[in-house]
Amino acid sequence: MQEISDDIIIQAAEGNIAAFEMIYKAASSFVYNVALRITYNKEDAEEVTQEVFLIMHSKLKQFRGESSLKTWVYRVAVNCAINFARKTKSQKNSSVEYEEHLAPRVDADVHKEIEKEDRDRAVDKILGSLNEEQRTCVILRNIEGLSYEQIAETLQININTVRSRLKRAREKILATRKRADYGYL
Amino acid sequence: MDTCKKIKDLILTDYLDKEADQSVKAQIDEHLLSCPDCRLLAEDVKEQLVLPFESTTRHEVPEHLWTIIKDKIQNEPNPRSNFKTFIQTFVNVFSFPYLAPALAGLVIVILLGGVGFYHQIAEKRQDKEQSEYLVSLWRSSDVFTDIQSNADQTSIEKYFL
Repeated sequence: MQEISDDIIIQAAEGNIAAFEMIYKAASSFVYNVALRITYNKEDAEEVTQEVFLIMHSKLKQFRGESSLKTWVYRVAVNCAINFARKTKSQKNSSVEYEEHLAPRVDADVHKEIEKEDRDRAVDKILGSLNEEQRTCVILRNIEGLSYEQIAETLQININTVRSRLKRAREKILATRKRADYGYL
Repeated sequence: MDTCKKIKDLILTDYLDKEADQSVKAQIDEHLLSCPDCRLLAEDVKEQLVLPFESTTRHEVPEHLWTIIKDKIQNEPNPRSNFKTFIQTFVNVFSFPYLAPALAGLVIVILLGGVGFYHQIAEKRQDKEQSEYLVSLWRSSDVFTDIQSNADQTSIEKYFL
């Protein structure tokens, strides 16, 4: 997630829509991609993204300082996505829907594209094999690059709980891949 | 074996995620040089848990999303306008032709009733205060004593006194 200056946050909190748009541009990629990874559905991810930013707009006055805003954005995004996923339970069609919203590509290097799509599908399968808590930790760490401390603050859990969930998730992935012989991507 | 277990736990967490401090990382690197089992795990982890995620697709946010969010923000009720609406509603209600005089009359009745009630209470309090005063006088004076003493006096004493 990109940096957001205090001035922008203050102006957005006062109702300046242009300032809020700058916050949207800085945070929307993170929010949308996390929502997509958790809900496995493009339409759901769009709804989650809308919900997150509407919540942010209504509660922005309560925040001071960039670091807390980032953590709060992470938290709202993850919570909204998880709640939505539980509500809709759309994970059953995860593989099919995930492929559908890959943008059509025009790329001379077809082999690379195929490899990339295979890798994406493999990641999707990896994440699908995990429970909700493990999957969220893996998404935040491996895909979004959050530190253990940031993950702990986002999910409001102990840092050792983050370690524990990541460890179990990775043990499970290794065991599953050995059994199913996914083969290397 | 215990060392290997700890090393493997670290490989799956802090070492893999570059959260381990330099001294711990150095210890793990040294252990990996001499332990094929742990070394194999480290290689598996890199191949199956790191590389797949490194180049995973990052999806573009649909362009129409901001338009939808902006419309919803601009159309959501403003708390200030809610208060203004409330005031306007209040004024409208009380500008209704017959309601205002009726309410004014009710207010006057309540005020008058309140005044009357206050007077009653004040009178009762005054009466009570007077009674208490008289009782205090009665008790502090020599009247009783005089009456009592008069009852015991002879007729001559009464005549002269």
